[in-house]
Amino acid sequence: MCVVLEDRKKITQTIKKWFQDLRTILKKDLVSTKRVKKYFFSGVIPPLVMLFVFTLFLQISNPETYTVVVVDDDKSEFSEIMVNYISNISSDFAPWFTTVEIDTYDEAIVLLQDFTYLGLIYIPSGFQANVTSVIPDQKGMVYLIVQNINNDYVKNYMQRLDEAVLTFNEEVHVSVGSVDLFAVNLEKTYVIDQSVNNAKGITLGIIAMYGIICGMVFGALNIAKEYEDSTIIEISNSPVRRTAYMASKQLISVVLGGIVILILSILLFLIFHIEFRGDLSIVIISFILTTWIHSGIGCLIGLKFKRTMPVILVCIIASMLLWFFTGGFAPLSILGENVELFSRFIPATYWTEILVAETLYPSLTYVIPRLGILIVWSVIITLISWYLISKEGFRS
Amino acid sequence: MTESVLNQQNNQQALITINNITKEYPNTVALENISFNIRKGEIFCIIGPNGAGKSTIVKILTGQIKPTKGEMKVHDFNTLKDRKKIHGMFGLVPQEIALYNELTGRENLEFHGRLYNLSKQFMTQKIDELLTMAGLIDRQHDLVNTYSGGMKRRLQLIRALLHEPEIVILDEPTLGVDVQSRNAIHKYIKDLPLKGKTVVLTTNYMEEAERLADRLIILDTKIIEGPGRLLEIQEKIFPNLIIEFKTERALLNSDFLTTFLQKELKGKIISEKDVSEKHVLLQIIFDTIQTEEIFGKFIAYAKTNNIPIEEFTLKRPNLEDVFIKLTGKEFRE
Repeated sequence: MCVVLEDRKKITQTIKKWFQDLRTILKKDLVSTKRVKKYFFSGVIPPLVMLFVFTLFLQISNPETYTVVVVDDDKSEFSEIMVNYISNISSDFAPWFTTVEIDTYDEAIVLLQDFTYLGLIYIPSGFQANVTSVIPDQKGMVYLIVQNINNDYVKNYMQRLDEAVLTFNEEVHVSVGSVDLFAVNLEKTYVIDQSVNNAKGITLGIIAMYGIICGMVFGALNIAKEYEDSTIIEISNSPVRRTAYMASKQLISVVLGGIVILILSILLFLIFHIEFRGDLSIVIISFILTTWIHSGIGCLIGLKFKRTMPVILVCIIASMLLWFFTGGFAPLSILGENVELFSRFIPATYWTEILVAETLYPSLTYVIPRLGILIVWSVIITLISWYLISKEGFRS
Repeated sequence: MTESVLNQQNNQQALITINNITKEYPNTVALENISFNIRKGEIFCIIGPNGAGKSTIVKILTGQIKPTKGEMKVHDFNTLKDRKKIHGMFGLVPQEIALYNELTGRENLEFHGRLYNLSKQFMTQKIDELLTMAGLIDRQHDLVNTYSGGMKRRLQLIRALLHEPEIVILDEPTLGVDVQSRNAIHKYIKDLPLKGKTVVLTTNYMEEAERLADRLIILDTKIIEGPGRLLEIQEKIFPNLIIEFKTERALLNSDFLTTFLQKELKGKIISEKDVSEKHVLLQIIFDTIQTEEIFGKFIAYAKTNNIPIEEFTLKRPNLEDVFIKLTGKEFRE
């Protein structure tokens, strides 16, 4: 009994010491980072510059008018009324889109994907039947599919369509007995295929990748700086556990990467009005996991090269590769099967997919497996980094 | 030579035992079959040329690297197997400046204290005491990157003492510092055995070893001399006595020099320097360590025969002479 209690006490003390070491190193690193201006500037200034450039580019690249494709699969009396509202209700408002009717949905979606048109309004078959249905929950559906998500005009599409649907609901009364029904619902979805020719399309790519690249660079520089300043000798000779040391280095990178991505996100939402539709906690968890993985990779780079200059060079190359293989430069679909296949082995791919999905079309069945892959990657990278740091002369 | 009080008290008590340590790297042997003991309360010095394996011993001692063969024990604890048990016993002052430049002097010490789980009250008191001792109390809130090299070395030394280690390992602690800081550091080191510490010092500076070491070894991959007291080693390597004196040039061909000094006392002139028109400075080496006998005869002869002798000095080869004789004059990388 006494032995068990003794053991339990020892374990509690060990855990307590582990977290104390973690906190001590983390606190020291935060103070150091705050005082080393180059960390701050390299973390915050580049995203601001990038945003500025993209905003400028966006203004230049915005066409003055937009044409929206309308596909009416129902071809009924009520669907024609709906199309009429969509096409003509705009006169009182500033820029409105012109509409072009196309016969099939498949044809329209191809034209949308190659940027011939930027939006698609789709009225599926059964629209009239649903509008006139006596079942209360069964309503006619109008779908808005938008190509470009990073655009003020997207809001316009939505507002216009909202107005068209509202007008339809107010003016087309379907009576069931003595009750008038609001008969139409609006579903807004997006085509998320990004284009290299369209600066607007890669803003989510920036937000997805910048934070984790910062995490990786912070991790690598942090370790390399310890070697360059020889302070690793102080740490490795102290009773600090190597696992606590590595965890603190990864955690500081997650925190710094998180700060950068937070600033970037706020700016992106303010400038590009991207509306977040998913579960923020899932995005935060997957961000932490992804930054943890990449800061771990950064720490491994730092451990390997031990000097800041080679580490910076390797990180730049790694970032470029990361960006390429996660579709930052061009959609993976146009880069070929091999690139697509290779991207499956890169954890950042899953983070990008989760972020995009949670921003645009949240789906747990899509996100959970990817989250699982990120967890597996985190464990693997953590174990590798713990193993490699044990070769560096740590006493504990 | 330095002789600490505690060393005298605990003269024979081995605190660190090094047994047949060999460290091999793929293309080189850093240490070859090294064995020695370090006694409690002494200043033990490891001297050797660059690449002799001094820092390798330090790294093995602190558990940073594993030896290829052999074992090292501290208080009967194996430095590798019982690493957790010897935590806190060591205070290491590395060869490199290993301080956080973007923290203040005090913050560096506080960080170290927290790593060693020191209580806040103890830490505050001890830091104040050490900063005062090192003459850094006025600069405690300045960033370390504004410190001079000597201040950094002093800060590094007191940092190693903060957690009150039993053994202080100093790996070339005065590398590249000015004379004032070096003297100050030497004073702290000399005082350490008085506070119950055992000191292991590696150095390239012979003068440092002469000033500080109670015992020493001369290392060049393997132990080429020692462990022993400096005098023992000097006498073993150079069992000679040198007499230096100034006299008149006219005496160069006299009986005093040719008959008495060279034939009777078996002395040999090793240096002859003009100091003025009339005077020369002579250095004569005797193949004996019988200082008193030679000295007595020399003075008696000079008195009896009215030989004009000035600036008379008895000399013994210093540690540098011993070191050069043992390790050679070739450059080391």
